[in-house]
Amino acid sequence: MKKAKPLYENCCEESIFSKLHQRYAKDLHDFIYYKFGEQHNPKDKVQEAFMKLWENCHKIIPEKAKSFLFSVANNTTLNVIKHKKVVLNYEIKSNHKDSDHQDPQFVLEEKEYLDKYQKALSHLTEEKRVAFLLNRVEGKKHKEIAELLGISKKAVEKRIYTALNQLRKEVDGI
Amino acid sequence: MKEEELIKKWLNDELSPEELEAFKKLDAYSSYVKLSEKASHFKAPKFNEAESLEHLKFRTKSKSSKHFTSRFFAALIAVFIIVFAVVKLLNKETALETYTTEVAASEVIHLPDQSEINLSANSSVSYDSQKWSQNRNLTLKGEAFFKVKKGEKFTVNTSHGAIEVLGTQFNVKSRDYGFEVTCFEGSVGVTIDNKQHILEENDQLVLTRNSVKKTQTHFETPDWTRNSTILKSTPLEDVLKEFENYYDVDFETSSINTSRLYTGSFTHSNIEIALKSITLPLDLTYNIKDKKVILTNK
Repeated sequence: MKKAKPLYENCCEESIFSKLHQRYAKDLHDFIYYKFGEQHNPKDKVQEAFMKLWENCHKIIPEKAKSFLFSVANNTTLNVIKHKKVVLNYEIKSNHKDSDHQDPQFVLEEKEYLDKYQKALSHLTEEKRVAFLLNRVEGKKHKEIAELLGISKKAVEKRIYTALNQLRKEVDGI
Repeated sequence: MKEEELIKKWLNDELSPEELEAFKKLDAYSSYVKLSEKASHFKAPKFNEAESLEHLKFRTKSKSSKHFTSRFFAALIAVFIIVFAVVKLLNKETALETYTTEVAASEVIHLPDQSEINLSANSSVSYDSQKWSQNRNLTLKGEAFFKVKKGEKFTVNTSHGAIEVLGTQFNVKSRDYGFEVTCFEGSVGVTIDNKQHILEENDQLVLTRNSVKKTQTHFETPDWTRNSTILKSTPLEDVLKEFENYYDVDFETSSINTSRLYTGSFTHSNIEIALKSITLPLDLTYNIKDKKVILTNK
């Protein structure tokens, strides 16, 4: 069967461009953040990637925009760093609405746990960390992550599972 | 069900109630749940989509003018290509080839049928290369020596008249001030004002001020191919015009009579000798200033 011609042949239309931004900007930002951490300014990388998309808009059909954006953001970040250790920041959130009544014991234990967690996360490979955090933190289904990263659902499943296991071993000190 | 399977299903929220019970019975259940819950502490900073888009729009605006110019240039180039193609296409139909020589220059032109044109100084010749095989027809301004291969009728058009041959060697001089056809081999037909003159070998036809004269030449090639010009009873003003074809100079003749007749020759390779060979017999002197030659009476 003949493949239907895409409705828009490029991304130069402003409405298309805005739609693409709405659909992918946040995911792109999270992807860069979880992969490379904050020191490489994920927001700037998102801007750069979308600027590149705009500059090349006449060459790119909207269906290809996602992989273009992810490749550009990934590559521009990789150009800057050579696999530095990625440390993700955490906040200690309180379950109590009134933060004045926090149990010091709880705060201390929480901090200890999160420190270990942070270290374990930084020991994960980028691929596993991205997949795991997109799944656990951003609540994305395996299928969605697979689409974002352009890999199979099985691969996503495996990455998340092994990430979880590796984290458990390190955090629990097994 | 295997533990790994259970965990993977749990990770994707696909556990059935029974499977969930089984998952809860795993040793590591609590640590999995804790890891999962605590992961949210590492949440990426909030991404402000509206702000990002606003910022992008601002940046693309400043770039969009560039977009416009690049598109404009693309359009411009496209137009140029089309015009070029059309011109090329139109040219194909006539395919007019033109050769022009400067003062004091000459050029040998090989025609598609292996005929040869030796184009003298300050002259031009043009022909249609596309139709050459059916129609050997060309236009000459100035002077040229033709060596024509045998074949269909070969026609040289000039402002003074047309020359028709089948296959010969001949020289045509067609200047504003005179017309001269010399046949060196075979025979040549010259048509002037609907009147045809036939030239045989060594015949020369000279048209001056509307009178046609037939004379003879003793040379086997035209004078100019031997780097000299031979003139017979030619008014001085025509001699000087002929001179200007081979030397890049102008003459100042206000003080002399230019209607006097000159017979003789001048060389194309040395301006001093050439000027002497004209001025001495006529009892004149010359003075060269830059590109101006002033002729005065002695």
